[in-house]
Amino acid sequence: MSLTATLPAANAAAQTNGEPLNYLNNGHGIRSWLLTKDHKRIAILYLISVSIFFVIGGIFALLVRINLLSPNGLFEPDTYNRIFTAHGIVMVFFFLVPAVPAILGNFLLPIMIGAKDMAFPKINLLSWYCYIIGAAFALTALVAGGVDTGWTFYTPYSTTYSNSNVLLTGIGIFIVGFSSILTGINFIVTVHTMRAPGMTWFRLPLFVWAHYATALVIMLGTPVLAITVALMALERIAHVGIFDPALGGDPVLFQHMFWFYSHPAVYIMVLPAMGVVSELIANMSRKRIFGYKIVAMSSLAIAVFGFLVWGHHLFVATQSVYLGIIFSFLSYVVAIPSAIKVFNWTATLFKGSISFDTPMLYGLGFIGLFLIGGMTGLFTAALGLDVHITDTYFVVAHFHYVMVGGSLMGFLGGMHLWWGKITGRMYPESWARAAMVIQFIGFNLTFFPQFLLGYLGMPRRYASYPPEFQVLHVLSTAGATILGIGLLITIIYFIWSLKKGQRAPANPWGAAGLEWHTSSPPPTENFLVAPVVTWEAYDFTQTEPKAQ
Amino acid sequence: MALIDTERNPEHVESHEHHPHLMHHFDSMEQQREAGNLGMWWFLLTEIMFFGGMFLAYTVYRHMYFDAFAAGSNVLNLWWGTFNTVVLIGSSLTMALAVFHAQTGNSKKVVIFLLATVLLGSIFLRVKYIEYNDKFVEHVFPAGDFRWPIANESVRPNNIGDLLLILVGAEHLNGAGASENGLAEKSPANTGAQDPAPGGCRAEQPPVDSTHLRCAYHEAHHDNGGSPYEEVHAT
Amino acid sequence: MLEMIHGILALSTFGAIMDASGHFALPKLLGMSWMLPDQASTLAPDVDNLYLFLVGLTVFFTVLISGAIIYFFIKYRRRSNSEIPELIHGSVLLETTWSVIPLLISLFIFAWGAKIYLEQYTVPNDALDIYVVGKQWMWKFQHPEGQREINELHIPIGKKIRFVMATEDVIHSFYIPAFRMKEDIVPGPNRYSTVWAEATQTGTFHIFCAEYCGTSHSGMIGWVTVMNNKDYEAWLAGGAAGGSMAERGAALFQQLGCITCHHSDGMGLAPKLEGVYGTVQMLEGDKTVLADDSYVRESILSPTAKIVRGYKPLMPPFQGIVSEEQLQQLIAYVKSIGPAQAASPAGAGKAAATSPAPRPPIMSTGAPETVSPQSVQGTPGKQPAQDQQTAKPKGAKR
Repeated sequence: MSLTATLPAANAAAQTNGEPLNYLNNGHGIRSWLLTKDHKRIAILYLISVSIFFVIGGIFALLVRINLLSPNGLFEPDTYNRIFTAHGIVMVFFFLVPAVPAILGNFLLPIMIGAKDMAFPKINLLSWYCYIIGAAFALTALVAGGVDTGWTFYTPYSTTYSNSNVLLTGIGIFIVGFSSILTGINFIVTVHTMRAPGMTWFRLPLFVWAHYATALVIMLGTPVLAITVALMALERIAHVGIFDPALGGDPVLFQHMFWFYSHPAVYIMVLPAMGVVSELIANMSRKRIFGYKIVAMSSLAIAVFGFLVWGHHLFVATQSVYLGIIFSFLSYVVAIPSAIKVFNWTATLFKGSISFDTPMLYGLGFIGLFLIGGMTGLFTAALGLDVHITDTYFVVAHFHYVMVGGSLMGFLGGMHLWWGKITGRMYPESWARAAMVIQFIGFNLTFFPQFLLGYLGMPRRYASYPPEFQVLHVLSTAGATILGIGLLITIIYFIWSLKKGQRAPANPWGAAGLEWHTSSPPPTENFLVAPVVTWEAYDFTQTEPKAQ
Repeated sequence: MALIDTERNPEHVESHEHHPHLMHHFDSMEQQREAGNLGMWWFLLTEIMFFGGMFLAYTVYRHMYFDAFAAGSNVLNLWWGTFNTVVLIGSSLTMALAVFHAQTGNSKKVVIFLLATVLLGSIFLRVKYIEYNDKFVEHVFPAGDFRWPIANESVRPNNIGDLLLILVGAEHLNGAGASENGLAEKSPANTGAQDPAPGGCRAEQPPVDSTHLRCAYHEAHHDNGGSPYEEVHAT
Repeated sequence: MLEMIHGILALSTFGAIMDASGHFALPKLLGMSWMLPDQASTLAPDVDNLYLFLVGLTVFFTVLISGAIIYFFIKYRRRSNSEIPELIHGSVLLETTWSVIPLLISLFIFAWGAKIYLEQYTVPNDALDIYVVGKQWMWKFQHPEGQREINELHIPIGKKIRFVMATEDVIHSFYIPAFRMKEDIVPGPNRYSTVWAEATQTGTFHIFCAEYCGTSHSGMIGWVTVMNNKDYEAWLAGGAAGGSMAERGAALFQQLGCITCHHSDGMGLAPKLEGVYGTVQMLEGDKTVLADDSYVRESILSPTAKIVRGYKPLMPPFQGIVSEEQLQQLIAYVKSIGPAQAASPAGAGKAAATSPAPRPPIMSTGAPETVSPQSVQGTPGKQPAQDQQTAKPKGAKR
């Protein structure tokens, strides 16, 4: 293997010979996609399927908001229960969990460390098929009438009382869980064994660190979700008594097992987005992330401490008071690494060269919204306060600030930053800026009133509500409409740019990182000449200036 | 396993010879083997977490319903269980030997040990069939038409103990579980109260189909006059 | 640590800023009362203080961070496409600063929240009991005096009320926003959920079910009416057919045949129940248990789960035979013949006000296990049972 090439020159040279060979035009026809082992093509498969689920979940979200325009609700309560459950299940298991890792992580992680592919390409493809099969079950359940348990499947309602498609959905979630696990194995092994010569651990981009931490959480948490859902299904089919109090079982045990996965799952959703934001901030201000090591380590800290705090979902669930105090304490500890990240991102801007382009706007939008999401996490972790606000709209607003304000903003920011790299075309900048601003305004208008609603006592999962809450609900619905329009604009110009967008140069942003050292879109092997890394992460002297 | 993509980039020419088993995206056999090993270890970790959830439930309920679990373990067949444990461990040994001979290139012994593993696996399944069949015939299974098999048995399990002993314990714990609790032999010292008095278990609330299960659960506690703790009662 | 606690106490005496009608006035002063629901319980101002503190903290950090971002954004905007700013690696001092300060703030909030939580779940000894049953989809209430209500609850002002709650089906959560009070009600033979509040304001306030419980979850709402004592007495005098809860319980005790074994002279096949409630009971196998509501409940529904020392497990289970409400009546009866109240069987609720023997802490934890685990197998007890004889003076558990 050649160890001497100077990368940018060699890779750029290959690109000039007419239509360059890349992963997109290397093989045509449906077969070349459905049987591909190329991590980039698998990422595209994920992009398409996850986007479809995002649209489905979004439609359910709008239906939820439409129902709540009137205190009496526009739908039957049973219909509404199925709608918000569908929204939760689709968004959590089929959008938020796979969005950043399976699309951006799959596409970029091998390139960023200078590998030709993931360590296990076939397992990578298998993971997509798991996703599709799981999704098929969940969609079948939806078409057959949906589920009415809420995405949390609390027993004994889900096991004994619900007359909806709990089993089908449970099977879908079980299978899609293995999709995550397979992706996680690939990430961990790839980062351990496939790094290019010279790519030491502390030269890894923070995106890779964040995905490594995410993979740890996925590997440790998702199997527990799988067994929990399986036991719930067994209970429902056979009434074996594990979670059924009438047979001596303990419904709270289900909650412990469920949240043992589902709280870390929050970090599965937000850690990769944090990795994206580190790239956005660094590349769009051409600065090494302030305190690179502590930001990298904070990802690992979040992954580890994230497993110790599940009990803060059970402060009013007849858990012992002392257990509550311990979980509250640990929850505050896990808040610190997130706080460090926010401060370090902000400090990165100091003396930077800050671009106003869309990826940066998303990066800053993420910081702002995640800040509020994180700060309101301090409210919900405060024991005495949580007694009042748990299971109200305050919690709904809190986790939407983290999940939508955090994960979705990070995901969209990443899509803008790497859209040229992935598709070979640039998105239209001014449309994108406008859409981002619309989304930001719409988002805040949707979810800020929900904080107020929650503290005033409005419980979540209510199909109808006392009339004094109507004003805030109408505001929220108005915001959701604006948010929906903003997202629609983004979807439209992304699709439009596939044909009409400007051709993307290898490095449109003057960004650092190995992915910018190969052509856009990259060749199937990622690099025509195997890279050798001789510089630190975010060394902007190694890049060429933005081509414009 | 060694398929190299036909859709290779023509410009990408390898400058050195390939090991026939090296996959295209790895640089060396060493790297490939390392990745495979690491991947397997992580996969095993996920398995631990997966079954860990089940073992957790088992532990919690074994603690909550100790007597019932002890009683449940008594319906298991000690001899078949012990025998099957030996078979299971033996098959691990033959499989490991097969891998060893594959690594040293002794293909004849690989075949022998793989066949031995298959044979032991079949024996294992056959014994499982016998054990499960007995239980199904006696209606000792976690749900549906559950019945406690031995009419004069003084200690009865609840269905949870039964379920977990069958599902979890059957794999690894049955031999140990049965012998550990083997001392829970009963004396016929039941002091009346055999019949579920005032309405007993029959008049229970839905879910109707599990009434008898709950019945078993109550009786497990109800009838434990003959348990090894009897001497304690007397004090 | 000590200073921290003092600081918290000082801060939470914000609550001292009351207006004439006894309402917490700070939100009003700040023009923020529209952000808060009615403050109708003694704990509501404490919770609101913490809330407002956190709102202030959030505003502070949001302004700080977004201010910094906007300032940098303008000051360091990209001026040339080719510029590459100087490399800054980080600063250990700065990073330590912004790790330690948030940690201290977090610990402060943690301690404050925990303090309120302990108050919320330390059920006072001299409370008036209201029995709550949740079922799909309604709230049923029983007063010790015998009144029964559905989705409506009348309580007196200025009295500590203990809600003893059970569910007939799925998990519900009893939530009164004006009292800042919420507690899940988990089904199971061996637990009651218990929570308490003391109303400080007359009026009518929402009762919600806060844990999703099925189709008409949003219909499982009701009203709590807080009355001054005179009105409440008048309302109680409106009468309840069938007598007080304890009287009904006594009748059930006869009907169900409990009395055939539970003789009051202690000579029956089963332990006598007089003077039992609220004391520590010796069980088989060197275990002990506090005879609280949850224990009595379990002993009726699943009698053989815990056997009193020296008795045989003869009692049949009553699950499915007695309803949740009857169960509560039976418990009220057992309570009425407890140590202090033994003299006046029917006066359960009011006699408590004279503060007799300490009420047992309510021990319904996640695992329904109130016995010491190491002695389950009947091994020689590692812990002398006498050590546990003394009930804790202040129940810190629910």
